Amino acid sequence: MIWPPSVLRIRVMETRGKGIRLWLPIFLLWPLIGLMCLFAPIVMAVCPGMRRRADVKAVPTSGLLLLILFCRLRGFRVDVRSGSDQVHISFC
Amino acid sequence: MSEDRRRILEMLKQGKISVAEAEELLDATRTAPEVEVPAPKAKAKYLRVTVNDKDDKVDVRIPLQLVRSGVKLGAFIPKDARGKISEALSEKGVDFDLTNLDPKAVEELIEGLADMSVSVEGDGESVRVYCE
Repeated sequence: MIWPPSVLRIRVMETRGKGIRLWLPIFLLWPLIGLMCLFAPIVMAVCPGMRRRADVKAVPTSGLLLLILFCRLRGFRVDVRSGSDQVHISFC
Repeated sequence: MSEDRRRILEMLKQGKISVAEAEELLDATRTAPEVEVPAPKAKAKYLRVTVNDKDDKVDVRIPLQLVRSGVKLGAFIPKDARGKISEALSEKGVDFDLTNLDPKAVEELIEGLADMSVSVEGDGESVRVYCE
């Protein structure tokens, strides 16, 4: 069972300890993202521009692939520090 | 004493085998090579890229499964857009052709990275790419 990320952590720290710490509850968006993934193949099948441009074989599984991609985001982390400034983004 | 040696000596004691046969069997147990079972290799989960400068530090951890899934989603990028991306990359000095992106090749690359790490150091700066 692959669980999607439940929290997005964003931390932007500036000099002298000033900064922002955010814990965004992504789990509240799970139903919305699930619906988007459910309707993605329908949108791709109906929209002629998308159908022409994308690989036709991949259209039926596009929703599932998007959902898997979202689930795989768990563990993704970016940490950048420059002097005393710091930016940290992670999916937990 | 090993289980084989004990069994041979018991067979000798019970008279099932002769002394010469027991000696042969004991020699065979001594010369038999011990098969070493390799420890199961831990499967890499993340691709780590760390860049350390004198003042700056970048640490990126990417789940390998995310890379695999992303490659599969590459089919949704329109062919003309792939060409444009490749052109833009080549202009920046990155010779990477997105139009010929093969998921199997990417999978092999990921498996290869699990067994190796790339480390470049110089003048107080270091770049390291590895899997963990």
